[in-house]
Amino acid sequence: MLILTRKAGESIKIGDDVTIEVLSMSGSSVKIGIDAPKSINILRKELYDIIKNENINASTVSLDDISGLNKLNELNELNNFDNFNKLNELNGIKNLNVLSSDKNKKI
Amino acid sequence: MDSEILVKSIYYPEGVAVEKSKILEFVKPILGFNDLKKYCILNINKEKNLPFFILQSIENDKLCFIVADPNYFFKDYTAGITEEDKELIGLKDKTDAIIFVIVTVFKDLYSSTVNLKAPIIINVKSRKAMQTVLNNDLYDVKQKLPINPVKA
Repeated sequence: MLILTRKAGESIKIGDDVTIEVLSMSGSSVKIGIDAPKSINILRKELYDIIKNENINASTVSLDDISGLNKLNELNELNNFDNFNKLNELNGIKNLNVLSSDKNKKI
Repeated sequence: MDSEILVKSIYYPEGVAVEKSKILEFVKPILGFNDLKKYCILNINKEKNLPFFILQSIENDKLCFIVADPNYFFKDYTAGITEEDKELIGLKDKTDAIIFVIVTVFKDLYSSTVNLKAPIIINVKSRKAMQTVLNNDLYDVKQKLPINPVKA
């Protein structure tokens, strides 16, 4: 780990696109400003870790999960999804290649 | 045909034809999956009009997410899209945006949760997408899906 000492008003460059500036210090807190491209996620580490871990948990999808969600409908757990056609037609999900459940068939 | 690619998935192991023009490009990646930029939306069950879809990675056929329309479950849910995010996905008209939330499915389906804090935003015109993190305390990362067990 590279360790640098900076005073308020001083900066650190990371590559060409990222600048980190120490804005002020108050007690044990440091206020920093970050200038970076919009495509870079800048988050507090604790929030980043929570979301990353949740994404990883969510990505372990099994066929049982999918058939379970299908079963919810058979059990009348879900009201009819009125927004489905709207998403398909008005909002363009159809254009996002929503596929029929027939294998290898494109709609 | 050159205009299509075969996308494999755990749900479609033999693959389905997806038009190249319908592939989503994540300009801000799904956190934890920074190297994967290309995805497509697959349907879980067209006949049943379920509010769930599959967000399938094009680059890794073993990686997919179950996503849901948040407004089906949470009528008042709004993902305030920042100007920076709009610019990033080229969103000029709000009606061109589709919001999904990622579902974490548990064996006991009634324990399943959705991540309302970090929705997926898709611009249907540009096919650019991103996972954004909402800068407020209104929504949780692990919000229980409001589905009640069947009464015996």
